[in-house]
Amino acid sequence: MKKNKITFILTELMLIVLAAFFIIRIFSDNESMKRVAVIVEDSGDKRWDALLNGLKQSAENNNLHLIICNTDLIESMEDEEELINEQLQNNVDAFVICPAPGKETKTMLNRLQGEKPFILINEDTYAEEPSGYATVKPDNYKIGQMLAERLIQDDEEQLENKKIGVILGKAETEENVNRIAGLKDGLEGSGCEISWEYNYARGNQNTSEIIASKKQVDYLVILDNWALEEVGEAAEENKYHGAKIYGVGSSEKAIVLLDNQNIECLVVPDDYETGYKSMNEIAKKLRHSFYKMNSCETEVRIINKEDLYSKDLERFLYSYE
Amino acid sequence: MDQKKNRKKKHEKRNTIQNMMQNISAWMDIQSLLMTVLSAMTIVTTIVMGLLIYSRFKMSVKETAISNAESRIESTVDQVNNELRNMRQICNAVNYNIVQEYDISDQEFSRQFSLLYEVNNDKLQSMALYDSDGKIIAAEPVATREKNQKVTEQDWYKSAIDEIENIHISTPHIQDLFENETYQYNWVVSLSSLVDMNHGDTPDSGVLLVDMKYSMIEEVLDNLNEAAGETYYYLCTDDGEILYHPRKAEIDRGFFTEDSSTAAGYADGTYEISVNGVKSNIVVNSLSYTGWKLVGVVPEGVQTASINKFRYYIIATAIILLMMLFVVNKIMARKISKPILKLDESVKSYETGEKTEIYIGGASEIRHLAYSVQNSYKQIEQLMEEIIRQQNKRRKSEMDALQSQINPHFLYNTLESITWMVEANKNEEAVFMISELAKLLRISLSKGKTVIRISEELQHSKSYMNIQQIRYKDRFQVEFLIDKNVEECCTVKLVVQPLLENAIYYGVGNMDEDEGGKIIVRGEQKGNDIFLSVEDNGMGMSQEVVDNLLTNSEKVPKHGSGVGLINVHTRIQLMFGKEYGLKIYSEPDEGTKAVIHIPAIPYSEEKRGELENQNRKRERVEDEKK
Repeated sequence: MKKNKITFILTELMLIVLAAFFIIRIFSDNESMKRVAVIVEDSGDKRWDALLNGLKQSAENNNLHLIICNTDLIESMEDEEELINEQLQNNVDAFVICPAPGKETKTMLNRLQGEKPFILINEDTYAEEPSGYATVKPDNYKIGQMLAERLIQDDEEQLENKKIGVILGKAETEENVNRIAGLKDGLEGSGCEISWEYNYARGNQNTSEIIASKKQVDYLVILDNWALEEVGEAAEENKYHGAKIYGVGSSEKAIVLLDNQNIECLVVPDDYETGYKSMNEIAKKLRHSFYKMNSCETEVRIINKEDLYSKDLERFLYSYE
Repeated sequence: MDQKKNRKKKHEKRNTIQNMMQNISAWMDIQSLLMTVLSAMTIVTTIVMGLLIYSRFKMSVKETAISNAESRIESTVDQVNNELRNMRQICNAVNYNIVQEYDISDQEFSRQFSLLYEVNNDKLQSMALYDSDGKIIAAEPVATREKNQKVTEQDWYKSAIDEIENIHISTPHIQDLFENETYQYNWVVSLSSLVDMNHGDTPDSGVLLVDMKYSMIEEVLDNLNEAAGETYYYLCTDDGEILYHPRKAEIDRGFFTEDSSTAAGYADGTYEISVNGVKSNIVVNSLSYTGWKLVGVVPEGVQTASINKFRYYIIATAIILLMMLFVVNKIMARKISKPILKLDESVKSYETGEKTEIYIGGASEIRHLAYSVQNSYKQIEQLMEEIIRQQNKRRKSEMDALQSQINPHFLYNTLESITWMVEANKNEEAVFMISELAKLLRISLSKGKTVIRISEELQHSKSYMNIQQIRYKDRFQVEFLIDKNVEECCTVKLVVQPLLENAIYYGVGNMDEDEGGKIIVRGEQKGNDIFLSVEDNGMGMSQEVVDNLLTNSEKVPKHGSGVGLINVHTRIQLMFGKEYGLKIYSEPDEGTKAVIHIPAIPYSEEKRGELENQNRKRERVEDEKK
C-alpha cells in the first residue's frame, strides 16, 4: 500500500514537472528574435545592394533580426571597434563584419572573440597568415589572376612592351594584397610592364585627375569597386588617353559602366552569395552554440559586354533589386 | 485440419492471456488493480482526445490558410489584371488617338506623344515608336539615349510583326534600349503592337513599344507575400518560367528550388502536391492577357508557430487533466477497495483469533458479502461449541469411567472384608470399616467434581488405607507427613489412592508383619509447586518396569483396582498441563517412590470452576489440532 502511495506521488510530481515544462515552452515561443549587426564601410552605398539582399533573405529564412549599422568610411581598426562597441551596448547577438584595414584589426577581433560570435565577409584580416576566423569571401588572388588572364587573352598583339597602371584599394588589406599578387603572377612572362601602382582613397582627392596626370598606360587595371566606379565614370571623357579599363566591381553601376563601354571587362564577385552564406553560418552558430562556423569562397564571374542582357546575367542582376 | 489447428492456437492464446491476467491479478491488490486499469483507460482516452483535437485544429488551420491563399490570389490577380488592362488601354490610346490620328512628322504628334507619357509616367518606363526598319521615330522620355541595339531582332518587335492584331506582352526584363544616366537598370514589361502611321501622305506601319514599370507588378506581389507566414506566392509563365518569386535570387543560385513547371501545368484551382519533398497545397490562378500563373504555395506545416503553440497547449492541458484524473481515480479506487480490504483484514484477524468482529461497510454488495461471512463464522462457532460440548461430555464420561474403575474391585473386596468381620463378630471394626468406606465413597463421588481440596484427597487416601490396613491385618504401617499449607490447595481427585494401591500391591502388600512394611505419604510445597509422594520400602522394581509404567500400560501387570499409574499421570496433565504429572523412582529391594507434581493453587469454588473449564478449553484446542 505504501509502495502504491509512493508511485502515485512520484507520478503526480513527474506530471507537474512535465506540465510546467510545456507551459514554459508556450511562453518561451514569444521570446524576441536574435539580432545580428552588419558592419561594412559606408553601408548606405549602392555597392552593397546585392550583399544586403543576400543578408536580408537569409536572415528572414532563419528568423533573425538584421541591424545594418549606419556607417561612413572605416579607415582603421579604431573606427570599426567603436562601431562594434556601440552594437555590444545594444546587446546584439552576433556580428557580420567586413574587416577594417591594418594589422591591429586581428587583435581587436581577438578581443571580440568569445564575447559574441562573428563572421568576416569580403576579405580576411590583414596579416601574413590567414586569421583563422570564419570568413565568407571570394578568392581575391584568383580575381587578380582572372584579370591577368583576360588581359592576355584580349590583346591580340600580345602584351609585350605594353604598360599597365594598377589602381588598388586600401593598403594593408587582405583583398588588396592578394588581388595584386594574383595579377602580377598572372602577368608574369607576358612581357608587359606595370608602370605604376596607386592606392585609391575614397573622398579625399579627385582620383580620375590623379590617374590622368600619371604616366600614360595602355591598360588600367582597377582592383577596387569604388575606384572602378569613379575612374570608370570619367572614362567617358577619354581622360586616360585611350587606356582600356579592366576592373573588379560588384555594384550595379560597375555593370552599367561595362554596358556603356566605359570599361572593357569586369570581374564580379557574387556579393549576394557572400551575404547569404555568411548569415546562414551565423544563424547556425546562434542556434547551436557549439557549432563551428565554416569559411567558404563565393563565386566570381567575368562579364563581357556581349554577355549583357543574357538570361543568365539578368538572373544575376535580379539580386540587386 | 487447418481449422482445428487454428482453433487450438486461438484457444492456447486465450488461455495464455487468461493466465497472464490471473497472474497480474494475483500479484496486485485490488486497489492497485483498479488504479492501474483506470489510469490506463484515462491515459488512452486523454491521448486519443488530444490527438483528435490537435488534428482537427491542424486541419482547420490548413483549411483557413488555403482559403486565405485563394482569396488573396484572386484579389491580386484582379489587381495585376487591372494594371495590364490599363497598360493595354494606354497602348491603344497611343495607337488610335495619337499615332493613327496625327502625322508623325507633325509637331502635334510629338506633343501628344509626350503628353500621354507625362500623364502616365508613374506607370511607364518609356514609350517608343519604330518604323518597319527598326528605326526610332519617337521616344519618351526624350533624355534617354539610344543604345546600339538591333531592335528588329528583339522578341517584342518580332512578336508585334508576327501577330498583327494583338498587343504582345513580354515577360519582365531589363530595359536595354536606352542608356540611363543614373547607372541603374530598369526592369520593365514591354507591350508591343504593330501600328499604322501617317508619314505625310504616305501610310506606313511601325511598331509601338510601351515599357511598363515592372515594379508596379512586383510591388503588388511583394505586398501579397508580406505577412503571409509560411505561405508564399510566385508568378510564372504557362511553361513554368519563374517571373517573380520572393526567393528568386536564391532559386537562381540554386540555394532553393521551386517546382514551377508542375504548378504551371495545372488549370486554375487548388491542388495537393509534393513541393521540395514537402507535402503542400498549391493554389493556381491565371492572369488575363498573358497566360501567366500566380501560384500560392501552402506548405503542410503551415503556421508552424501557432500549431506548435497549440500542440504545447494540448499537451499541457492533457497532462493537467491526467493529473486530476489520477487523483480522482485514486479516490475512487480507494473508495471501492477500502471496504473490501477492511473486510479482508477483519477476516484475517478473525482467523488468527485477534478480533471476533467482521467489518461491515461500503457498498451494498460488500455489506452483503460481509454479513454472509459473519453469519458463516457464527454458524461455524456454534458448530464448534456444539462439538466441544459433545467432546467434553465424552471426556467427562471417560473420566467418570476412569474414576469409577476403582470402585467395583475395591468395593467388592471391602464388602467381603466387612462381611467377614460381621461374621466374626468384630462389629466395632466392621463399623469402622463401613464408616471409612462411606467417607471414601463420598469423596469419590464429590458431587461430580473433578477438582477437590488436597485435604479431601488425603482424607480419601487415609480412609482407603484404613480399610486396607484392616484387610491386610496391619502388616504394614502408613504415615502421612503433610504440610498444613498444602491441604488447602487444589488437586485432581483420586490421584493418591491409586499410588497407595500400587504401593500395597507391588510393595508392602506381600511383606510379613515383622518385615516392617511401611508406606509414607508426603505432601510439601516448593515454590509454586506441590509435590505429593507415596513412598514404600517394598521390593521395588527394575528400571525397565519403571519406564513402562507411565508409557505402556499393556506391559505392566495389573492388580487391585486395575487403575494404572498412567491414568493418574494423564489426568494430572489434562488438568494442569504437560509440565506436571507423575514420576516414579524405584530400586529393586529398596522400595518405590511415586511423586505427584501439581501447581500450588489455593482451593476455592471459583478456582475449581476455572480449572475445570480451562481443562475443557485445553481439550478443545487439542481436538482442533487433531
